[in-house]
Parts: sequence; structure tokens; C-alpha cells
Amino acid sequence: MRPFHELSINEAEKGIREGELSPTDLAKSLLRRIDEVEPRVKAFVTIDKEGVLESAEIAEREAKEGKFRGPLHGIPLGVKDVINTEGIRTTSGSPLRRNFVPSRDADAVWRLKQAGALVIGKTVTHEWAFEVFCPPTRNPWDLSRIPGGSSGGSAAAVAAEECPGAIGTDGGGSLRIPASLCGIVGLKPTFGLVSEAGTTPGGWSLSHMGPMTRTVRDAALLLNVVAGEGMRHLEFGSSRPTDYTKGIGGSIEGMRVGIPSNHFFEMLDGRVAECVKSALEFMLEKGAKRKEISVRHVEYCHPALLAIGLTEPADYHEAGIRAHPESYGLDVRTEFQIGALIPGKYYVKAQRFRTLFRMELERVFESVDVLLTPTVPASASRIGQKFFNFGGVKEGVSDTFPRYCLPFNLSGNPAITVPCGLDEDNLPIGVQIVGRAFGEEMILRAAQSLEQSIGWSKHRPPIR
Amino acid sequence: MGTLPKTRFSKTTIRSLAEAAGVYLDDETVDIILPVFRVVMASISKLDEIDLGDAEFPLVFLQ
Repeated sequence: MRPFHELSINEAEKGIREGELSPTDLAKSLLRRIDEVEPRVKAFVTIDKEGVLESAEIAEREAKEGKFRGPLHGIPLGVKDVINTEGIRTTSGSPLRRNFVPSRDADAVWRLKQAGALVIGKTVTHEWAFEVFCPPTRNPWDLSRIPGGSSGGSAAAVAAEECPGAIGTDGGGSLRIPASLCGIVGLKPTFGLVSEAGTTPGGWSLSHMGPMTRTVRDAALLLNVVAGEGMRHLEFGSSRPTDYTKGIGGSIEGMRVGIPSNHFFEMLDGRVAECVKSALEFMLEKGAKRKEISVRHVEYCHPALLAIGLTEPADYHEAGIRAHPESYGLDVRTEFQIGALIPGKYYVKAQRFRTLFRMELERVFESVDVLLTPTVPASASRIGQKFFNFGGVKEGVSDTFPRYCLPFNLSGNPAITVPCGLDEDNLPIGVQIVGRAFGEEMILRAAQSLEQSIGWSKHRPPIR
Repeated sequence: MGTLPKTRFSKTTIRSLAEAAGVYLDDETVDIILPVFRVVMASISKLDEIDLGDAEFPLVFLQ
């Protein structure tokens, strides 16, 4: 029998429900795995050993009595350390929050617990959920590489089988980038579908919370639980309560797959382009239809994201920087200080641009069902590496990784990354599938079909 | 207000913007910020090029 730490959420849940797996044994197996690999991976800020074992014992007693709290009964999960957890410190990756212990759970954590999930620990975030490097976490596929960020701890923990799933946040690719670099599935849902109440704000109008898992089905299972009414949800969008696992396993015959002819295949590593082309071939073999499409205005997405993504956190951090400048890392402090100096007209222009870009994507999704793009232009960079070189053009690592992800933070469209291959250094490469607003079922179906064709489950990081 | 002048931005610009925003920056910080600010503004000012037409401020993001 496989060690329990290798089980997916779906497999573990089935085992618990059928009485073949005890929540305590599952938690102990994961804690043993953490003992083995965590000194090298460094994915967690806090590991709640006592808490998870205590909760697992309760879950076990309940299961024996036939009482199941919900679809995640007894499943331990990781939670990014910007998301509040009652009684477990939430540092946001900052010395300023070193000892902050929230008195209540964030909405999403509350929902996970209501469904029976257990919090095994808090995963590393780059300071204040900004930037892509995410120290001290290492990439389980190559410990000399970054995991990506800012949700790098969640991605590394899931990839290294320290937990079967986690939740992360994504303001400019922060969930999809590390998922891609660590070879797991990361789903950024439609803006507002998952409540962000109780999360340290990165950029109020850009940030999305979503699942990070080893399989597409697990991402759907977690989305089923965390999607739902929240304050922002009511403000910004309408809910479409649904079972996101429903479409999984369904045919993709006739699905119109849009391949952008601009932006998304520019300045990228050759192996990444090859992998995404192979992914498209797999989809075409299953009856999907290819359609070349131009996405207008996409070249303005980076300026717009900068204008919004620097200005919003600058306001949140103004008092903190004034009182404790030394408690901010130089990289994020500089960015927040610049955010305070950006003329207001650019913030307004950037927000108005989002309206224009959203309308453009509505036009695009009239003729296609999903868009297929690389998730990131290159596989994981080395720790300390500052630049990539694409055909003689030098680009900062922080600018490279978000390039294909950030347009959909501006538009709010759902986007999922799923592993589609390995490069010559045995590092994972991800493909991004984007859908129309509230089109999660469609992108999950496409992603699962691809996952099946590629046979990704046979690939595991070399860390043992 | 039209397009910002296409200058390279100086330390004086940074100090003036900071003063107007009520943000205190010491000399060392101004030195650190200036080159990054130039890059950021070179990118952001591209938003001046686009015709936003009737595009509204997005009070409701997705319907």
C-alpha cells in the first residue's frame, strides 16, 4: 500500500469515508513526511503538530460514529501565511506580524473547517505576499531553485507531499507561478468567487484566493468548499453555486481552444513553448478545435497592474513603513514607497483600462471556450538569479514570471495551471487554461483532460 | 492634467512627489527609489497612449 502522505485529497477522503483510512494515521504520515523533507524544503512558517493531531483524533471518533462534517472530513491542509487562522499565528512573512495570532479564521479557512478539513500548518509567503522569490523555501524538484511566489510555501509543501493540498492567493500570478514552477495544479477562480475576508490585503482589487493541489479533481473539491458568499462576493459579482467536479472526466470534443497570436508566446524558453504545443496537440487529439486569436490591448496590462498593484498596498502599508521602516525588506519597501508616489490619474486610467480589457476578453470568449497559454515563460530560476535572457533580451526574474498570468488578475477571469512536462533540467513546466468569468467548470474539464493525456501523476519531485 | 513630461525624473522630483503625498523619504531612500521609479513610470506612462473611450471605472467587476 502507498504511504498515506502520497494520497490525493480525493483518495484520502474516500478512504476515510469508507473506514479504510484513519484521519489520525493520515495526519501522522504527513507529519513524518514533514520531519523528513521540511529541513530541506522549508515550506512552513508554523507546523501545528499538536493541533492537527488533536483535530484528527476528533475527526476519527466522529468518523467511527458515522458522523462526517463534510467533503474534507479529516483532511490536513496547508494555509498560506497571509490567511488568518484562529489560534495559529499568521505572520504575512513580516517581522511586524511575528507574533500575530488571529482571534478568528478567514472566511475560506472557516469554510474548510466546516467541511471537516484540518490545518496542518502555515506555509511560507514572500513578505506581504509580494514578489516571486519566497525565501527560505526551496523548490522540491531542485533545492537550488526558487519555488516561485508569493504562495511558494503552499506550492512546495504540496509538491513535496507534506500536505495533499493548500490554499494560496494570487494578485499577479502569486498562486499560478509557484504551482507551475513546483509541478502542481493551481486554480485562480473568478474574482470574488472566493471571499478574501480575513486575508492580509495585497491589492484589494487584484487578489484572488484559490486551491493548490496535486490533481485537478482535488482543486475542484477544494473550490467546492471555499467558493461562496462573502462580503466582496456580494459587492463584485453574483454566485453560481455548483459542483465543480461535475464536468471533470467529460469530453472536450468540440471545445474551442484559443491560442493567442500575440504576447503569450513572446520572449519564452523554447522548451516551454514546445510543451504547451504538445499540450494543445493532446487536446486536438481528443476533439478540441484550435483557433488562433489576437488579444487586443494586452500590452497595457503590465503598466496597469503596476499602477494598481503598487498603489493599493502603498496605502495599506503607509503607517507601517513610517513607524517601522526597518521591519520591511528593501525590495518590498521600495515598491510600496514608489506606490505612494504614483500620480492618481494613473490609478484611475489603470482601473478604466480593466473595463476595456474585460470587454476585449468578452469578445475573445465569443469565439473560443478557453484560452491556452504557457503559465510562465521559463522554469524555476536559481536562488540568487536576478535575470533571464531571452534571445539577447535581458529581463528581471520578477518581471518574467508574472507576464502571462497578470492579465487575468486585471480581468478577473478564472485561470488554472496544470503541469504539462519537464524541461532538460527535469524541472516542471505548466500550461495555463483561462475561461470566461465564472467558467471554472470548463477550465477544470479541459485541465483534467490534459492531466490525463500527459499522465503527469507518474512524475514526482526527486526529494525523498 | 496631461501626460507627465517625459523626463528622466530627478531626486528633486522624488522629493516633491513625496512631500505632496506626505511621505517622508531620507536621502538614502531617495537614492534607492530613483532608478526603480524611473523604470516604473516609463511603464505606467504607457497608459497615456491608449484611448480609453467610454470605459468606466469598474465599480462592478463581473456580472
